[in-house]
Amino acid sequence: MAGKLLVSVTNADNDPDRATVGFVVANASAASGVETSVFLSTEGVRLSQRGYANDIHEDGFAPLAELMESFVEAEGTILVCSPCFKKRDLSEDELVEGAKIVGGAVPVELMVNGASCITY
Amino acid sequence: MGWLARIIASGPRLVPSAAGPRVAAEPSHRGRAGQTELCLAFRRHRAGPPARDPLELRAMEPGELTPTFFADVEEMGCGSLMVALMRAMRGVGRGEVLQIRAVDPGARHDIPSWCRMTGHRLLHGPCGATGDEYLIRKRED
Repeated sequence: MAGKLLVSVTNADNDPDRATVGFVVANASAASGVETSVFLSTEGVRLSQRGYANDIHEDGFAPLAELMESFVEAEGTILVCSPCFKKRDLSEDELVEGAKIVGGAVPVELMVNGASCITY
Repeated sequence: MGWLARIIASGPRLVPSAAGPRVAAEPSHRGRAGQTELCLAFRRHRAGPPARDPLELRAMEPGELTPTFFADVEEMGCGSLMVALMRAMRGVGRGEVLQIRAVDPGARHDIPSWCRMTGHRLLHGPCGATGDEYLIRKRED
């Protein structure tokens, strides 16, 4: 199916509900054959660190770490905002599988080329 | 007992049939507060043509409705349901029919939408005695 979706996730354990639902929607999209990227920015970049999401499990949802794994399994891409990442002094060596650090050009290019965007 | 119920009752629920191939991973998670463990069980339907319920099958084309695989996704919904469908469909051959049982209230809208996006064909559903069953033919290409 044609079309792309960019899911912007701006929260981590400061708002686990938003962080979780962002990945739930991203899973729905990627598993439906839509080219899907999650863009982690501001506090959301903390999710890019291995093990960080292990303690986030909202009632009624699958654990966040499991949602992130299934998103990558469904060929979703995790984009990590570079300045947000550096500001928080996070480690490139601890990136979760499928995550890559990008600047603003990548999400902007996705959107100007037609990707729809939803933010959590 | 309907033919689907017989399929479900033919072996321990949520456990792959020893006779049939396991066609997908069996992801599971347990909720925080003792939520029901959600698992997928897949099994090849080998019992031969089921005794069909004429009321249920009236609108279907001959030869289209023998499911090859069955997956009970129980209460999975939203993104988890889509991932479960994706995983289940990986083990289904082109043109073969996957039968799904999904009880999430959003499934009756999400499953047709997923079929439109992925190109698989929703043959029938929601249907069955409890209105939570779906027959999906995998796309040929």
